[in-house]
Amino acid sequence: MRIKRRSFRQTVNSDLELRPLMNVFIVLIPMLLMSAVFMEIRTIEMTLPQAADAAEALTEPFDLAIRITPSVYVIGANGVAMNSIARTHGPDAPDATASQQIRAALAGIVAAHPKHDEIRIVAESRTRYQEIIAVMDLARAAGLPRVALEGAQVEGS
Amino acid sequence: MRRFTRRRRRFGAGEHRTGITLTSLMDILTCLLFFVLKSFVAGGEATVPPPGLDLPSSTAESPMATSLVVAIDKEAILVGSERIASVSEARASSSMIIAPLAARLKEARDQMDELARRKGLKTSEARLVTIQGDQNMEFKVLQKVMFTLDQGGFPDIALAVIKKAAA
Repeated sequence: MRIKRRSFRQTVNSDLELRPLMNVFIVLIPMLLMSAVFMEIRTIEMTLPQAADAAEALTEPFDLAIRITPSVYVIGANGVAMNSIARTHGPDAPDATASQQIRAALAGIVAAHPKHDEIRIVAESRTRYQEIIAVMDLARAAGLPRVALEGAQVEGS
Repeated sequence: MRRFTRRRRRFGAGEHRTGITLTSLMDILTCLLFFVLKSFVAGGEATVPPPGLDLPSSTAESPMATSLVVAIDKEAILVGSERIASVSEARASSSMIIAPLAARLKEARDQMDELARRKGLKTSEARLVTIQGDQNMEFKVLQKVMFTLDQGGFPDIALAVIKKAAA
């Protein structure tokens, strides 16, 4: 008996089966996008002045401070004002001009006292947090990485 | 007609390849996946500030470390995600110490010490607190929170900021 042979060829699908992988990706990508943090959070480390440090500050030969008053930024050392820079109010305070002047003034002081790396920022109770952070940035850019925060003494208290 | 029948039998009757070409889409998804994975914080602590809290921007570079987080938004002071005190009360108070925050800090410190004891240490070494403050917050509130933290046994404080490009 003669075996009948079929004449058509068998076709083989040689494409990769990507659909399961696609399904995985489609689930994975929204999940990652939802949990991703796109803004980079950084920190400014600081330690609070202790009682011993305060006593030390009195004997320390150079005590640099920047005081944020309602109208000016006063840069001073050992209680003596060295430089006053006009302050503008608003969400962008200190503005570009004031920022440049503060940075230049602090850089000049750092150049004169190269071993000194600390500054006190004396802020008033209503000073905005963003402004304090901006002044900290200026101090750090001028070469004063160690920053202490202090509240201004209210007159009559 | 006969020739047509033979061809039809060879290639299959009515067989059309209708599959979608997924390779290019796969390339896009692969690129996207790598981009998303790269955007994850590789080192340090990943944290998301509470909704409605706008952190100040800064040129600071230090990555965030694992620590207790105290958030100060427009209305409340939170430890972790727990609301502890209101900002208006803290502002109005004549005392420098925020009492509910001090009590919560004591609990946190006790928990840390208990964990440290179980690990065989005397007391907890990590006493770092990260403050996530709103950029419009008044210094008075920050000062009170920092004072309370210091009095509560957390002298090491880090201020959380959003990184901006250096000018």
